Order: sequence, then C-alpha cells, then structure tokens
Amino acid sequence: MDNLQHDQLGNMGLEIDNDVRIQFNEAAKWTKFISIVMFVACGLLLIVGLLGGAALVSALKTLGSTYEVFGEFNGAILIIIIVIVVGVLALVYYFLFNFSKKIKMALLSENTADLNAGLKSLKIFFIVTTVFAILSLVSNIYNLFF
Amino acid sequence: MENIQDNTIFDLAIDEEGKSHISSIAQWANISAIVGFAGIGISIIGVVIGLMRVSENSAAAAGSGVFGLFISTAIALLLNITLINAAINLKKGIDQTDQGHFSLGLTKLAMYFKILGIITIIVLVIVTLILLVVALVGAGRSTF
Repeated sequence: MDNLQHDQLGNMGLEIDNDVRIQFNEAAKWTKFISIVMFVACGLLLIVGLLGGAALVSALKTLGSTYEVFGEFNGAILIIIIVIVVGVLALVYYFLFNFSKKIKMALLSENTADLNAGLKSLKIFFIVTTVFAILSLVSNIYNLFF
Repeated sequence: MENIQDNTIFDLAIDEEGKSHISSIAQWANISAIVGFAGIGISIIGVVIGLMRVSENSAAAAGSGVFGLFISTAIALLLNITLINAAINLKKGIDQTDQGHFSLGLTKLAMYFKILGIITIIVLVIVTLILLVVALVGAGRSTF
C-alpha cells in the first residue's frame, strides 16, 4: 500500500508540498489585495468619468495645443471610452481575483480542478497584460522615434 | 487509517493540465519581463532625449527628471528581474520535473505579487495624501 502510494506520487512528479502551499497562499493573498484595489480604482474612475466627463473635455480644451486632440471629442464619446477602459481593466483584474479565489479554495478543499481553474485564470491574466504591455511598448517606440 | 490520512494530504496534485497551465504562465511571464526590460530601455532613451531639450532651460526640471527615472527604473528592474526568475525556475521545474526549481519559481512569483502589492499600497498612500492636500487647500481658500 505504501509502495503504491509512492509510485503514484512518483508518476505525478511535482508535489504540492508545504513550501508550495505557503507560496500559493502568499500569492493568493497579494493578488486578492491587488485585484480589490483595482476594482475600487475602476469604480472611482467610472464615477469620476461619468460625473465629470464633459467638464473634463471643456477643461482640457482650454489648456492649449497639447490637449487639442480632446477638442475632437464631446462628453459622450469620452464617457464611452472611459466605460470601455474601465470594463477592460475590471475584466483583466477579474482573472487575477479568480486566481486568488480558486487557489484558496483548492488549498482548503484539496481540489485539483480548482487548482487548475486558478492556474488557468493566472495564465489568461499574464497573456492579456503581456499583450497590453507589447502594445504600450510599440506605442512608446512610435512616439519616441516618429 | 494512517494510509487514508496520508492519501488525503496528497489529494491536491499537479496533473498534466496544471503542468500545461504553469508552462504557459512561465512562457508569458518570460515575454512580459522581456517587454518590461525593453520598456525600461525606451523610457531611459525618452528621458535622456527630453533632458537634452530641457536642461538648457531648467536645471531643476532636469534634476527631477533624473530622480524620477532612477526611482522608476529601480522599481521596474526589481519587478522584471523577479518575474523573469519566476518564469525561468517554473519552466525548469516543469520541464525537468524538479521540485526545487518549481518551488523556487513559485516563491519568486509570490514575491513578484508581493512587490506589486507593496507598490500599490505606496501609490494609495501618495494618492490619499495628494487628495488630502487638495482638500485642505480648497477648504483654506473657501475660508479666506
């Protein structure tokens, strides 16, 4: 019986030992904090955007040539842009929150399906943030040299 | 009875699906860190070009620009070095089925999120202080 158990563990290769559990728990704790702060920031951005969108456009128009691009917008377009940005941000950080939630559930209930769901959420979070980072880098390079 | 207890301890395991997800996480974290390093380089070039234009007019602006660049570069380097270490160790852990590398990779990943969390706290404190100062200045103006 004991040998059979060791064979099964040997086939699995990587174990969720105590050290791994501590690190998963630590990562889950911090990702939960980060995602909740980002949800609150998204909410505040949405409130400020909806309440002061039109006022912000008119204020930017008065600031001069640097902000002339905002002269093309009216308040409604700015509000739509803010809603889209907030929606995308909230969706990205939902995946981080889901990672935290699923990993904690997996550690408590010893459920491999939850562990896999949490890891999948973290994978999606990294894919989306990396794609945005690449787009940002390309934009910065373009602004710098062209 | 003892065997049953031992089995429940090891109920949580990394199966093939989990390995595949961790491998993808390592791959994308690696790309993210490399993009981050490239971003640091572009930021340095941008600030240097900006300083060359500004420094003739204002030494104070140039000084604050260099200070800002130094702080942001240090934070970005710390974050991206931690992330690339996490990615390398996780990949080694999965590819070579090495528990030590896997554990180290997870430690680095947890550290990455811890640094991000601490940066978030610092930003929150700064934003709160700015809002307090703005509110106090506003209240002071309305009083006088």
